[in-house]
Parts: sequence; C-alpha cells; structure tokens
Amino acid sequence: MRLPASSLPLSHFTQSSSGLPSHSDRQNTANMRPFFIRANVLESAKGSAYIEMGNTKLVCSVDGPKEITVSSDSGDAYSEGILNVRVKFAVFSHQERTVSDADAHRRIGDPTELETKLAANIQDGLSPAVCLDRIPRAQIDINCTILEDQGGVLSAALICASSALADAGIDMYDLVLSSSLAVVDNDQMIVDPSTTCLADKPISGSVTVALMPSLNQVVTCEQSGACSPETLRKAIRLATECCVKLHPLVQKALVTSVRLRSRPK
Amino acid sequence: MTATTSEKKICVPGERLFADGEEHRSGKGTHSTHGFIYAAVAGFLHVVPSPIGEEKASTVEVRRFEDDDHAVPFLGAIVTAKVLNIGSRFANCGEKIFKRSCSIVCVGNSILSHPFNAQLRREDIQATERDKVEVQKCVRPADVILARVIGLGDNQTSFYLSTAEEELGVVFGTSDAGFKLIPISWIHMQCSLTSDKEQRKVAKVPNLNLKTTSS
Repeated sequence: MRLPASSLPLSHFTQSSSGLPSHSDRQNTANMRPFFIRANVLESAKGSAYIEMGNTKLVCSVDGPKEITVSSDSGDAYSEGILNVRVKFAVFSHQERTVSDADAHRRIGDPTELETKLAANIQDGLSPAVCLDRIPRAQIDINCTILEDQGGVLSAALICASSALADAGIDMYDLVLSSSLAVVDNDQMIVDPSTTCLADKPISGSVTVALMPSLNQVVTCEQSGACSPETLRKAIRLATECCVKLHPLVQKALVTSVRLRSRPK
Repeated sequence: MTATTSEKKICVPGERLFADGEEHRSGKGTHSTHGFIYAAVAGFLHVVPSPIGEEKASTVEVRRFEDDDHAVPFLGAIVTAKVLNIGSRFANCGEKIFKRSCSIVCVGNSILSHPFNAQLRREDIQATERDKVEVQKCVRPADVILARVIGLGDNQTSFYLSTAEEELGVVFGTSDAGFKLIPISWIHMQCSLTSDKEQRKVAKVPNLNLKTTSS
C-alpha cells in the first residue's frame, strides 16, 4: 500500500524508550554500542558470520568460488573473479514501512531500491580487499540478511561480510572494518548512532568509513548531508579510530571459528 | 594430526607474518605487499623449508586444513572432469543449464564444491596427428577424464582442457551396454560384462593394479 508522501509515522509523536543508556554525549569512541560478532554460524554455508552492533543484527553467508552466473556488461574475458552481493531486509527489521516511488513497480522477490544500493556499496567496499585475481572466471556469492535495522547497517554489513569471506577461506588482502557516525549541528559528532538516539536530534549529516586495518587503507567513505571539510576530516579520523577498536574482536571471532573447524568431528 | 595443528599459530587475513626478505617466500594462503608477507586466509601457519634450488630458505603458508585445498581450476592444473556431450570438433564437459561443457569436478586431489564448465577441443585430445582425430573414438559422454587446463577461455566459452599427454585421458568409461569399461591398451577399453571392445584415449594412470595387454 502506498502512503502519501507527506505522512508522518506515529513514533514521531511518541516518546521512544529503548532501555539503553542515553547517548547524548558520544564523541568519545568509548561510547560505541555493544558489539558482538561470531563466525561459522551457519552449517550449510561455506562461510558465515553474525554481527550485532547495538540492536542492529544481521547475518551474512558466503558461497563460492563458483561458475559465473550473472551476466556481465563488458565483453572482456574474466581475468578476475567477481563478487555477487545480495542484501535482504527481513520483514520485521524496519519500524516504519513506507513504500518509495521506485519500489512501487517492482515485482515481489526483486530487491528494493535500498537493498540494491546497499548491495552496491558492500560490493564496492569488499572488492579491494578480496584477491580477485587468484580466482579468475569465478564468482563469490555474498548474501546478507538484515534481521533488525537500528542504524549503521552499512558498517555492520561490511564487517559481517568480510568476516564471512574470511571464514569461507577466500584469499583476502585484509579484513574490512567499518564504522559510522552522525554529525549533529555541523559540529558535534555521535559515534555509532542508533536510530532511536537520533530520533529527535537535528542531524546535519552522517559519515560511514570502511578501512583495511593492517594495510591502513580506506576502502569506502560515504558521506551524506552537509558538513564543512574540517568536520569531515575530524569525522573520518574518529571513525578510523573506532574501526581499529573493533579489530581485535573480529580477529578473535575468526580464530575461534578456525579452531572449531579443525576439531575432529 | 590435530594435536600438531592445535599448537600452531592461527592467522587472520591481513596479519603481518614475516618480512619478505631473503629467508621467507610467500606461499599458498599468503600475499606479499610492501615488503612484508601477510596472511590471506584464516588458518594455521606453516613454515616449510623450500625445495632445493629455491633462493629463499623457507616458504610461508597459511592452510585451513592439513591437505592441499584448491578452490578454482587454474592454468596448468590437472583436473578430473566428466564429459557431458561430444560434437564433431570438441567434447563438452558441463552442466545442463549451460551450453555444453565438460564438468570439472576435482582439481588435483581436492574435490571442488562447485563444478566448473570446460571444453576439450578436437585438436587437444592427442599429441600426435592432431587434425585427424575423431572425437567419438577418444572420448564418449559420461566418461571421466583426467585433463590439464590449458586456457581460461573468453566470455562465451569456458575453460579449455587438453589430454595430449600419456598420463591424461579417459580413466573411467561406460560401455554402450551400460557397464564399466576396463582399459586393455592405450586405445582400447573392454566392457566388463559383454567383452565388447571400444576405442578410447586411455590415461596412463600410474600405480594402478590393472593388467594391460597389447592389442
């Protein structure tokens, strides 16, 4: 059902109590949301990972390398492998359901505009990290299912997908870690915000940064809204610090999964 | 075997292992960037002494399991493939969805999780008299062949295979009657039930306890 474009959701008028401590002052990287990651969660998939960043939960499975099934626009030979990313939001993952214009004409089963955009962002973020030249003529399927979306979905998806790729044993140059933050009033920054804590604040923009920690290279930097260059620089630096904080946790999850896999059945 | 692997260090992709100097060479499961050797997969670290003749003293490898694991057919690899159908100019090994190809099932000793399509061209079946080969006298559909990957192919076609060596060719075959074929020479195989002889390009697989009689 298509709602009129000017409608407001009910939650706009109610006080939302999330049960989490207030996140009014979150410039400090120590105030990131609780983080949990675990690899090798799905028995049937070659590699998988489950991540929770606050209330944002998503699971990712990886399959491949396999024969290329997606048709390619370029007529070049496949000298490198390709990543085929698919994103699916669970029906219960969103709080507000409004159907945008672009989605009104899609068939059931096709990805929505948001899912397509997210998949493209994830593919852009992961392609520099995977050794695609070692798997010519092959395709790696990455399927992300978002169970609950409470902010920072792109970051969570990038970390989850790169952990799932590592769990699947696919050659990678480095892991991809990511973090997002919101810019409030063109000056203050809230690190790793959830949608509930941003509900009543005047947000001027948001920044998502993904980087490869060991090689110290940024793979993705997404910025939306408006902010001054100085603020953007500060935001990128802050987001990079957050990513580095997550690195030991992701490493530990992968080490545990390797140890579990090597145990005799 | 698990006792030794549990003592070895577990690496994570991107972990810096050694400097890429005179002592260490980056092997399987690692990559060399900016003068350092980094791990490329999540697995156990193995430092093996290099074979004699290599410049560097040891090879650094990161392996998930004890045995060698290949994920994709690579150029020069010996693969096990199943022939799906043949034409006058080639034999195709592959899946029904795609147009015809041989279906590569194994690479070396490791079984692939997903089969890949490949094509065996007429001129690549034999090393000698390459143009006078008749495909149906060398391979037939449902044969299992050992072949070498000689080309990656382009957009339309798949991997190219070659059996132009003594050790490559048909390993298992099915006779017209539907029973197992036993090799009796380098160009003939005999049905195990009806004793009919059929022509194949037989692979010289070493260490098999088969009686070979000259035709």
